[in-house]
Amino acid sequence: MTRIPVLAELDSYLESMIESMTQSMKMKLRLPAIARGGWLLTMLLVTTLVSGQVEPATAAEPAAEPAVDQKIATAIGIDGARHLLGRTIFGAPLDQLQHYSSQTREEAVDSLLETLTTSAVTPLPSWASLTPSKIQQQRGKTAESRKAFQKSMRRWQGELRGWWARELISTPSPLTERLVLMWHGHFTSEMTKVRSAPAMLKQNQMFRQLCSGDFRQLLHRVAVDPAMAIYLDTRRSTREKPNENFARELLELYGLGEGNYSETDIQEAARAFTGYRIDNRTGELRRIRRRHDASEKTVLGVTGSLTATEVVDAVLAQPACAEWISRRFWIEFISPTPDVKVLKQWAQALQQEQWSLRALLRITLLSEAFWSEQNHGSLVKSPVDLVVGTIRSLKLEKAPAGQALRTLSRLGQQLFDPPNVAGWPGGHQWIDATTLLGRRLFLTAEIHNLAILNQLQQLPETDLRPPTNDPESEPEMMNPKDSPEMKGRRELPRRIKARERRRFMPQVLRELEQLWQSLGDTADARSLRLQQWLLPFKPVGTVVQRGSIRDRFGSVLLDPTYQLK
Amino acid sequence: MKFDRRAFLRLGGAACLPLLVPGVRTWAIDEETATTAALGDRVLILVELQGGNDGLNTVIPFRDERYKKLRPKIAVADSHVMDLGNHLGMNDAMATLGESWEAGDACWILGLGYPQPNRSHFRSIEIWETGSDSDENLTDGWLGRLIGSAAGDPTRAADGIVLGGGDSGPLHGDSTRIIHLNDPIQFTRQARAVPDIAHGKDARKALEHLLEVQADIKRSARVIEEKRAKAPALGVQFPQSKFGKRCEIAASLVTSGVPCPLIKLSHGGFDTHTDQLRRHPQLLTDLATGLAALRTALIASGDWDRVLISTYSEFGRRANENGSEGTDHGTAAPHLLLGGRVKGGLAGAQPDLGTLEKNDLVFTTDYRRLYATIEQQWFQLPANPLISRGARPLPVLREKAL
Repeated sequence: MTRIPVLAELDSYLESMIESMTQSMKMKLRLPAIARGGWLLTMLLVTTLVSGQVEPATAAEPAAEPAVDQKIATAIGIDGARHLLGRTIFGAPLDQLQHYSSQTREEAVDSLLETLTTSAVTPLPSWASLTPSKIQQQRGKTAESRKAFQKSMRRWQGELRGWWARELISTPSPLTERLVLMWHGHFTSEMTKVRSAPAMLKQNQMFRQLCSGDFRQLLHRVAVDPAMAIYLDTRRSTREKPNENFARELLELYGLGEGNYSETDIQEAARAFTGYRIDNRTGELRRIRRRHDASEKTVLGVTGSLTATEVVDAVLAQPACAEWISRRFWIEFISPTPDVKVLKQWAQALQQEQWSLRALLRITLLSEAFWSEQNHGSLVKSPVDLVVGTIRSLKLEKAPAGQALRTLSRLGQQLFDPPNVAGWPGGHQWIDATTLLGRRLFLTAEIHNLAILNQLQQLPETDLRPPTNDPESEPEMMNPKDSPEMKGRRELPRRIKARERRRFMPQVLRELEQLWQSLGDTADARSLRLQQWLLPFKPVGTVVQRGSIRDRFGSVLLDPTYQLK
Repeated sequence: MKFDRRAFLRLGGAACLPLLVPGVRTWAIDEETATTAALGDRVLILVELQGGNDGLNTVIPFRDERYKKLRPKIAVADSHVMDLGNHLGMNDAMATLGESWEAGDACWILGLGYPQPNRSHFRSIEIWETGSDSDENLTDGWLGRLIGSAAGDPTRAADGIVLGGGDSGPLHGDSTRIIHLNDPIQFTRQARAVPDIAHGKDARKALEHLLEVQADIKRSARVIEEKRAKAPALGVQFPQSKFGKRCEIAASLVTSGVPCPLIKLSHGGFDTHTDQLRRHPQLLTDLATGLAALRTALIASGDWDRVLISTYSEFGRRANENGSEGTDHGTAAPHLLLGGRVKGGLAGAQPDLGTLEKNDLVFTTDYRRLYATIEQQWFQLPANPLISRGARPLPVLREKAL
């Protein structure tokens, strides 16, 4: 959705005057570049941008650039490793960074890609094994049973969020989760509307299974995904009154992008998506013949008595489709300003590679643009990047996932609930006065709590259980309440008692001090290494080298540059 | 009104001449002074109805037979309509605004829209927010442009405050200073811990943005804290809905005299594709009770005459219902103005249910007439072709307060 400023086509003297006027008023005309046919100009503009007319981010870098081949053949170093891992796996502990730093770009990217998987390691919530008919049974028919069912559904929703948060924190394949999160934001469904936690889980698993697979398959599955059918109303759409919701987003947000279809395409496609209902026995989407509009339609130039499958094929046949997906990869992994010329190349490659998303990811991560110095720190960390990344980097994985979940929601990224069908807008919009203050709060008070809980949860269960009559020890319930599932795994967020703080804080600080000592031989060297590990470029605030251990780490984590990747 | 793009281009072309001629700068400077002076202490509170509010079930042509034919399942029953005259009525889910209607400080502007309507949420809200034509892409919000050279006045807490989520939309501009906040007390407390870091233009755009936000936090918090310390309590009960709480914060900002000309609130959930008879009245009730409490608080504090409240939304909804007891994305819709200087009643014209275009209402009033009204009559700025685009103001404000 990022737009590139381009010059309007100058078709008359009059309009050229407007042009200078709008410029002088600091009002940029923008056009979805390809759509308006002015993309030649866009390319020119983007090329000048990328080719470095803008001052490079780090002026301190040596002026003489080595030849490209040589650069690719040499080790990526600690900076390269931080850049790569920060953008692909939410950052990493220092030892992992060092491991990657000795590899070449290709080696590093390929060993990352080797970690890709198709399933999660966190045990599923217990309700996940219920069959759709069993769930229907639980729901029942009376007002009372439905009310009770709604209550347990709210609990399931919380458990599902907790389950994914745990997977994000503990997974041995964070790259897979990074892609699942990307597709969740691309093919959005909001649990607040869908309500069904089992349907949202099914969708999430589908993303995991296909996140680096064949895009064609992914798009086909999305079109008949039950959670999606609930979210965008396909399941209610009838022959007599087709609902346009899914058809519109399929063309606008999921497959092509604005400017690559007409209103008529939407209306015709909507007729193809009529008559699909969720089968209560299987939980899958099924086409009901008498509700489906089988008459002739024309979508994107394809005519026939089209069904969902054929409309998706028509979308995939459009050249704009592969470009739209390439654009998504660029925006996710490189910068907010895609180079249209490169996107076209990627789109071609994607099709040659049988729509393999793994291949597209490899192309993205090995592109010059990805490694360009200018793009270091050009992306704002999402709340998941910040929270999960900090937890993983500092090895605080034992802390309750619910604690992280609460922070994510406060920072504007509630898992399974993007703000609207366009997903999280991301980029600069992650940062406003409220969320920036929230991020600072996370990096000060909350991170200490996480560190204490991380210590505390490594103790055997008996050591932990607080006397039940102590009100202070009552865990802070998240919505939903009484989650035996999460309580059993000690995943609920909880307040830390003064006694616990006194007991565990010294250990936290001792370990932090050890980590500090391991960073180098002198205070200068340690501080520099810490910055290299955590910051995309030089800090802009004051970094403390000799204060308390809290300040030495805190001043790096609180530096504004830590918000970037 | 028919809006002529060519006419605008000529107008704009002429207006920019002084800027192009070296030495003729006075015009621009005058403009700047005029903006600062004229905004004065007036406040505009924008309420975004996110998702596209169904205008036909808000201000209802209940005497029109065709209305019930178009909506056999979801037409609002006559018993739930408050007569506004002119064969129109207000959904009685908004009954709490009846007092305002009676007092004559509420105005419905009917049939707002634009030619070649776009039915995408994102594109159409962008059109409304930037004030553009349907086929034109502008970056800055229309209010960002309105505030233009007067942006960043250091005596203000901010140029705009966005309450409770949502983006800055119409307030967005290259130089406008916008802050987002949920709770002013928490905000000022946390802001104290933020260090002052010098910042300026930076090729690293993401970093530049971060540092700007950080500096804005410091500055805004200082002003808000100072003003609120001296302010008396509101003394009005606000509804506990999300929107009600946002209204309460807006009231506290205005009554404590926090200097900020633009406030934006959002109210979400209007994308009623399904189950509309249950969902829509609840949304309207939340809207009305929140605004009614806001009105009461501002009247009590004596600020009502310097506040104008205006709703907006990306579009109205399809005239006929869909198969899921809801409505799909549509076009024109009515919007509500409230304030001590509002001339109560109906303005504009109700779109005719007999001349639908693909089942959609045809707009009667270009939405930029609302913007022209706010620009020229509310903020008393000279007509700027980049903002009101040559549209005429609507006769909906009084010279003097009631």
